[in-house]
Amino acid sequence: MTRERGALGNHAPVFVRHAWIAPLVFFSIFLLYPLLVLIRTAISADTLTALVNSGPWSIALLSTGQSLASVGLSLIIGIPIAGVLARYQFKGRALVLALMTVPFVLPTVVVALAFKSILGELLAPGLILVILAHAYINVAVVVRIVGAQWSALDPRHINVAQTLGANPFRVFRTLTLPNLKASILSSACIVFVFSFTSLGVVVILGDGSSTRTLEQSILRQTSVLLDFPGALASALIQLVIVTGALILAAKMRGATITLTHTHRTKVRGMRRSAWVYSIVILSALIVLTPLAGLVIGSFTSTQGMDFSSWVGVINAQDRFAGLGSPRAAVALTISLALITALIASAIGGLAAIAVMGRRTFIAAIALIPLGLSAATIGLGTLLAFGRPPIDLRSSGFLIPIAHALVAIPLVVAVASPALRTADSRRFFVASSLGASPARAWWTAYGTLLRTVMIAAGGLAGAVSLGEFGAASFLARADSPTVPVQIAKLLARPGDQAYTTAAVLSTILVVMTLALMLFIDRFSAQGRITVS
Amino acid sequence: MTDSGLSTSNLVIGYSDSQPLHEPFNFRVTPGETLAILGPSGCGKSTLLATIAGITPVLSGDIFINGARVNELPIHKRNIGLVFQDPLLFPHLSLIDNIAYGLRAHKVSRDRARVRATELLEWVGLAHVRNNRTWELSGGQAGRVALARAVAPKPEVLLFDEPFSALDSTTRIRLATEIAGLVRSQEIPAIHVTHDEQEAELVATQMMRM
Repeated sequence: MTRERGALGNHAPVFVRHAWIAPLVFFSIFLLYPLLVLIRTAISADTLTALVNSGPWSIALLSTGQSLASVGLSLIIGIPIAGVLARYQFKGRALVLALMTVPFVLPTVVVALAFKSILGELLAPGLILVILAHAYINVAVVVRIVGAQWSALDPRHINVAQTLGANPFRVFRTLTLPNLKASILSSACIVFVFSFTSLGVVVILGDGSSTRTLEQSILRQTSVLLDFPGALASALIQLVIVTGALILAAKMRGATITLTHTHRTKVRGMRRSAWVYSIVILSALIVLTPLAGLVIGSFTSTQGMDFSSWVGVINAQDRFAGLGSPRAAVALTISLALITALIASAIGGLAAIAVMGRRTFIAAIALIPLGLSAATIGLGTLLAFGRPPIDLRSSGFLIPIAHALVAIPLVVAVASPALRTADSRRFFVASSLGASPARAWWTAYGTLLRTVMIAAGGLAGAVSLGEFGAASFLARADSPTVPVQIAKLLARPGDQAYTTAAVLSTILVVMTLALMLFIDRFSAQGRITVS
Repeated sequence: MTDSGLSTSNLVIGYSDSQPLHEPFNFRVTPGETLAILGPSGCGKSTLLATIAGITPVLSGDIFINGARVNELPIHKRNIGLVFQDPLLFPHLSLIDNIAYGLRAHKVSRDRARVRATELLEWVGLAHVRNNRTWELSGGQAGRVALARAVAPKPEVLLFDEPFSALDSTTRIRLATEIAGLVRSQEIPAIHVTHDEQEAELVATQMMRM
């Protein structure tokens, strides 16, 4: 069926035609202005010196090596899982798919602590731990992107190739793999970006030298060394590399087959069953082992079972000087997530409506934060609005605004394609029946928009719960967010600090998963793809 | 040769032993003959072809190709040409490489495979579009390429699963006539599943209703 979609042109109601104004104002004030302030503050002859200096480039090179290794491991683990989930229908398939997504939505500091809990005694902090944690987080990207492409491949193509004499290996090499190439490269680029800009994982699991990323450099240069020109140089180099990788990912994504319907077969035969179920069991073990280590770590000290950290968090005890109480951090993090969800869904939703009306420049602006590091956004926001004449630090809005900037690209990425699935002919049917433009628009898009906004808001909330880079700049020392408090606790010696960090991480895991279940429910209702 | 061609003996098809789709099949198609199978949607026509091709397992009974029992033979060793309703051309390959695919799988050198593929492309009257991508072909053209690809490795059996149902009647009649000629001239046994009486009469040397 050919469906007329997209812009309604001059038929659209006034508020839709002008939906681009609010996002543009928001981005101008909270994204472009802070970036200008950051550049004005930092740019000097020293910036050029820092750019030609080998320092940031050698970190970029080290970080590229680490990221490529993380990509390689993510692909090795992710491709077989993607194949099994894409090709076979079996009991528990949806559960395994949801389980594979869990590491990706968890805050990175939580994943890092989980790995420290299970492997900390076997492996010293360094490259191997960082690569393992990155692969753990990013396998979901490979499974989702490659899996979607794989399930779009018609199994009858494989049947035809087999009847032409191709054995299973030849079919995989000459038919499956070439058709998956674009999605494999696309997922590789995205995993590269996440590993290249990693902060929480390298702060907690890194050795400070071989595992350094530019993101970590920016944080150190601005908060420890006060070297703003150097930080700007690092941010610029990161921006160029990340933008290049994202453009490549988008190009590859464009080359993938559009999913019209999925093709899955039942698992038949002993050998195939053994293969499928061993992959399923292995996937579950990979996902759950670090989380189990985390939960066990929250009530285990060198003396054995110890629930004092749980009791301390529940009773709001302030046992760590200068860090505030963990319970206050949890309350703060939840309230920030709620405000972020409201801002991001409102601005992101309006941006998506504007994109639908062919104001695509809004999408381009909304995507800028993807190329910037969260730390750069945090720093820019702090410089622009964290000191006189405009000091919003005490207002409590700086963190949600920075978090909203980080989350809005995801909101637009979820909301835009979902809104495009609405059939615009309903608008004209409603209009022909006498509905005003606003009412006709709401009839055609309202239900879907409401669902999309709630799901996208939930996604933004999940981003805010675990965000570490921007919050580490903007959170006040005596009232940190949970991820910042976890990182600070881990920097302190002693069992108590460690188990309290594990308790906070467990709470963060539960909150994030609850939010993802909520999003999943709404996404299913609105036929939205959230990843 | 008395055993030549395709035959079945008490062949039961379906997806579970408790629910066979049809009475047991006992038929024989000799080289150069086409068995046309007619029947409504869902009666098991396509499942019968999938079972003969090895895509769906046999519930009970036997399938013989040129006298050899092939029940347990994997798909890629049965030497069967299969043409579906959708042409299912491989989108990442050129037209020539689509047709040469089976020859390459049978270890024919790249050059020889491409020469043979070019001949077959001429045979189906598409030499003029040889540089087109698969998605640039019309439905009829794509169907012809699928046919050329199926016959390229010289299959011992040809199976057609409603190959023309997406085409207009003129193209359908022309292709049906060409296929009937091909089956006769190459002496390949063929099964042709369709729900179109006229098409069945054009291709069939024997008919079966399900």
